[in-house]
Amino acid sequence: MELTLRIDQLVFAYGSRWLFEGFSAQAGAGVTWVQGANGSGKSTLLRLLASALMPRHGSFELAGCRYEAGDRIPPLAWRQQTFWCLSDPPPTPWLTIAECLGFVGGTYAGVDATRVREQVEALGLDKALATPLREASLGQQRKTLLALALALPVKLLLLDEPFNALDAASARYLADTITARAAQGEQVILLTSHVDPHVPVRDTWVLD
Amino acid sequence: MLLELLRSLKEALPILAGIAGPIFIASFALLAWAGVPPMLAVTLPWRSGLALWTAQAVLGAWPLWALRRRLLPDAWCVQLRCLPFERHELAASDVIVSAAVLAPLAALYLLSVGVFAWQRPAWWVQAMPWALVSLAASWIAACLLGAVALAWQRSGVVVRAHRAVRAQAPEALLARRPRQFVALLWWPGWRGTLTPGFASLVAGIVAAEGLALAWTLGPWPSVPGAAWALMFSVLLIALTERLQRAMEQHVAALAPWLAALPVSPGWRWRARALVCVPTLIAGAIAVVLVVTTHPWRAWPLAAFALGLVAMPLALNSVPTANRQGHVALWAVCAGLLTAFGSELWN
Repeated sequence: MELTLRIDQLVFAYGSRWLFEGFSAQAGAGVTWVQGANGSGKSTLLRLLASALMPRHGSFELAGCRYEAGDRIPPLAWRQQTFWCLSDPPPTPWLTIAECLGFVGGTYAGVDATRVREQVEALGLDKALATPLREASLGQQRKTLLALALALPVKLLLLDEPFNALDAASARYLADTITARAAQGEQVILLTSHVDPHVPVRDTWVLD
Repeated sequence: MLLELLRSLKEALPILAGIAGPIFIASFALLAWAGVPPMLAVTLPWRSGLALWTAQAVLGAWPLWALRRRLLPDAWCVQLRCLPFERHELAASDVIVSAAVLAPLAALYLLSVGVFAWQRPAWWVQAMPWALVSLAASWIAACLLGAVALAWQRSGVVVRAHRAVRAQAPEALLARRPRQFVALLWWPGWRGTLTPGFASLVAGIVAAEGLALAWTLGPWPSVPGAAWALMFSVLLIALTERLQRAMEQHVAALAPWLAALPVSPGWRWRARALVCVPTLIAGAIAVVLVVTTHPWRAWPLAAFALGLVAMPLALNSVPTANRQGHVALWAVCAGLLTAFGSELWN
């Protein structure tokens, strides 16, 4: 059975500013490019799917796991199969890059340390592992989250502006890896980007 | 920040007047003691006088040290380096900010002088006018020390940031994986991200135990036991509230990210429990001091110990954003702990 993310009747507002009023959509395995102007709700949609924000109404479903608006704490199974690569640096500036990788990686079941190491080396983070995040460059902070995104065994990958602040070689590596993952058909990848991500896009959602 | 302080005071005054009015009126006379050490210093032999005068100046500058990272956040310090300010302009701004923060202390000293001018005790009349000069010099020294604390904050951001670089073994850490408590709560306090950090908390506990020692051993019989109990209680309440405020900000910054990770929400409760720990440690040591130094009375001691446990729990149950609620808790907790504390040996 093909992997499908279902968003059903999503309702969300920041105070009185409504962003989603009954938004429904489906995304299959591969890359779905979420487009829209600034403030249209792209990052908010990813935050809602990541359970960093609570929807007012609606539900999400992926691989037999359902997460509904009424759930006070999102199901652990949902969080185990989801990784949110936020557009901001990790909010743990006191951790070194290695500690951040170890801590976040350790929260997921079945994480393979070798895969983390591979991504760290491919993104050129290996010489910066002992650097505290607060001293790391913006690119290194972003790469820390991207290394996790590419190494963790999750079914739903939420990439918020993943190409921001990356050097050319890392951006190319990221695009190639996402392309390879999309071809494997084992992950739903939701990606926001203001520029063409240069990856094979299965579907495009335009938010307004 | 001063405006925030004034707003807090404005919100707090009705509560203070309503709930804790009688307590504060009763302890109003204590305010007159604020200026005594620098004035008394001129009547003592020069060594002990200088020690007393210095201690008061350092104590006066302590708020600047405690608030330095709120007055000059790390991000501002970095920005300040990029802006075209002369060194003397930055130093002057530090002194002005220091003086503004210590203005309430100046008002307290004036009040103290007013009370002594009205009462005119013999030692004070004889010590004039040097007592006044010493008092003014003490306030100025506190301002200058405060300015040094701010200058240290401005120049020390990078120094502190480098502390965490040492002693890391990346490969080992990748394999070892830091535990949730360590990664989210212990390291932020230890590495100076959380303010107050562990060093400040230990200093607060040591200061509280100093007060508890002075209270139980009684080296200054002229200071009533209730005054020591009040100072001890207020210090612990302030320590708890400051830590609670810091922990609330810390939790708010982490919560969205951690909500998305497959971690147990139990870390929030551990964060709250951690807020109570300094008070419980300081309280337990104080109770041991009471039990070992004097014949004690069971019921007041039990009530005092229970109050020390209940106080951080009560403060924790009300968010610090609810200022009126917190001021009411301050007044009630300080009042009850002082009342029970003053009855321990009576």
